[in-house]
Amino acid sequence: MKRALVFLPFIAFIAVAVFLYRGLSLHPKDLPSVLLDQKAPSIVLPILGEEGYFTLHEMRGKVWLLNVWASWCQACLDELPTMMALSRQHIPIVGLAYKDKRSDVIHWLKDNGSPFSTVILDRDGDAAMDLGVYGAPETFLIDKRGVIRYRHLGIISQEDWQNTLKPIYESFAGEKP
Amino acid sequence: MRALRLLIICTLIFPLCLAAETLEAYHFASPQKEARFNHLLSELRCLVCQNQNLLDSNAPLARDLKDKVYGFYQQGQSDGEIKDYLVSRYGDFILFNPPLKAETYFLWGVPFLLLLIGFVVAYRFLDKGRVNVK
Repeated sequence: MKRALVFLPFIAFIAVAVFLYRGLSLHPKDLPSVLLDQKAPSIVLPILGEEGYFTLHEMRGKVWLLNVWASWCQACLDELPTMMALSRQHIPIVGLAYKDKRSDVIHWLKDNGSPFSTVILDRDGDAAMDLGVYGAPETFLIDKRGVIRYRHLGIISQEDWQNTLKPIYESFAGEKP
Repeated sequence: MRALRLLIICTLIFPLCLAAETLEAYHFASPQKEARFNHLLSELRCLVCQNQNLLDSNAPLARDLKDKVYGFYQQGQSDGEIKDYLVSRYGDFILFNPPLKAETYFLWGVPFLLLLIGFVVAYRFLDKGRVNVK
């Protein structure tokens, strides 16, 4: 019994080392959304270039991406190539212009091109707050019934799409609405 | 040289101005109310700069959240209601104090468990000592 106790500090050391080592590879920014696998909160926002308002009802029966983005957001410009590639694959992307001015949005889309099937304007960021948005860019993958299936913080790279989002997208695209 | 000194002083003072500016936008009926508001903000995490609370943070999202909290506060909502609103959107992570629930039993329980182990070890150690003296 006593001999076993000699090893106790060593065992404690190993335990602490394991925890600290694990801590190195944790990303404090990778937080699951509280809204995961829940119905997306109702959004009612003006649509750019159209009369009337956007609601989630319009996207029923589609698996789609809600991309929170802004003209003032540099990282969004870095994400644009991925979004463009996705829009060429006919994946519906709704661009939520986060805390952005209508004129700036129009300008940005004219300069850089638009990957979005619809652009909605969230001038004061209220809808984004309902979604628990941290900042731009941020992307939600929403299924045919309006349930949030994935949330990605930050830029979606081609690899992110291939490895993470695409499999989720495809698994829900096959579902009956 | 003088210009340099002035520049250094300005650089040092500038952050203080930022800190002071934060809460001036909010007005309260009484100092007690302001204290309660500040206390509530100090218990909420700034999600962008994760080791800072909302009270100290000047990040854009933190400012928006502060405005929101201020709005609810002025409407007379309780601290609990305001926290529920934020937790339902941003998760428990926004609270610096993790709530006691199934996922956090381990977190809350371990200190007590360790204390108990400590007592047992100390008791056995002291008990043995007594026998030896006899």
